[in-house]
Amino acid sequence: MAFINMKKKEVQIKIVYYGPGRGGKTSNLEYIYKKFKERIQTEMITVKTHGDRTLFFDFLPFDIGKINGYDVKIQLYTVPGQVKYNATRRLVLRGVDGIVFVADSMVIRKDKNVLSIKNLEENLADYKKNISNIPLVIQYNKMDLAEQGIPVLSFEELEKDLNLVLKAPSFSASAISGVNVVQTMKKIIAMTIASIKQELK
Amino acid sequence: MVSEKDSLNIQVENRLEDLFGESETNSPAAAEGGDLEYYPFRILKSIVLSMDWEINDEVLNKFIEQIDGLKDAYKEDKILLLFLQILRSLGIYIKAKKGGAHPNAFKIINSVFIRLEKVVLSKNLSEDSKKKMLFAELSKFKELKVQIANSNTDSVRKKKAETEIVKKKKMPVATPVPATVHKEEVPVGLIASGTQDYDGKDIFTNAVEDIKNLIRVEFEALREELRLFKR
Repeated sequence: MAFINMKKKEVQIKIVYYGPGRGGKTSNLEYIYKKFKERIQTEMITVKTHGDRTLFFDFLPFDIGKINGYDVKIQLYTVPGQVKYNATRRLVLRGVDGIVFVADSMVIRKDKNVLSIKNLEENLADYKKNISNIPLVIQYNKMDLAEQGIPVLSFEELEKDLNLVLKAPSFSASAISGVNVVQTMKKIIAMTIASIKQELK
Repeated sequence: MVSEKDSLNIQVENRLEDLFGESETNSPAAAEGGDLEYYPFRILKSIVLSMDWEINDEVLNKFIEQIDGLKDAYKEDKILLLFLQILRSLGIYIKAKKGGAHPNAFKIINSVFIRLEKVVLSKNLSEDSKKKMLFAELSKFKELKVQIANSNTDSVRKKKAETEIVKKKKMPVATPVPATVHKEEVPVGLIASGTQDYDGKDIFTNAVEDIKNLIRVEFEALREELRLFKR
């Protein structure tokens, strides 16, 4: 549940970008930061090491202003995607309000997407959260690679693999060039705010 | 009349539009690769893009196999051949070391491949610019070799010192990993070699093997370099 300060009329919303290693979670945040840093006036904190990979997490906080009289503060996080960093992933998921699952569209990453979404489900269950109930947006990243002749899964195949049961809103995207990066973020923020409002009723 | 839910949605949308509103290309449907021009480096690119820490022999064998095929196809192009040779040497090194490979090796594979692609795809690039790109990558590669050699020497020294401590004290050394941090999540190289009772002979043999491998890879690259420039 989001952190709500009734006295200060402030809401903090935590959104986590989850997905397999090298799928483009950090690239999503980097694109948002680079493109809108003048407007959101914030700093992106990122811990990169061991060959430029996210070892702990990236963190991008920003305010979106007043909604229903409350100051809404958004915090975007990424998790390290590599299998062995599950403890860090679990830790980052603590108190999560909304999730963007960034899948890698490359054919050779098919299995890793499935493993990663299962891992998300398990880690959420540790916090007594259900993947079907939490605000979730799925992004199929790296679709642009098809233009270079690299085999990528079609939107339909990815939907079948990852979204057949969940039926979450989904976007095909290219985090590097920014295609649908902002769309994805807007969607998850809107869904999360609506869900928090619903919970508060 | 606008419902409460709709009013909230409108407010959120407006706020997000104010902050992030700008022409953003909408998602194209997944492009089909049918009418694409044949791009000989696409499989190699796909392998480079997919390399991560869970590196295994299968991926690296494919990587080396692809490079060998491309070397054969581009045997007349000295610059491309050298780019491919650097990639091959890095592939052999990572295959031997796997997760223990120097972190910069992964960075250099990416950067060499990016430059290689530029050379292949930029039709108007002069020979001089291509050479500049190649030498920039070559110097990164050489720097990496020095870093590897230094880290090998350091680790031999460190292991020797640890062996002596273990022999003197005859008791286990604590592993400096804080209780709250999962041991597997500490960056490679930060975990001291804890309670293991090292055999000095084994350490020395391993270090010699490491150095031998490094020299072999280096010689292979040098021989290839000389061979190409002699032509």
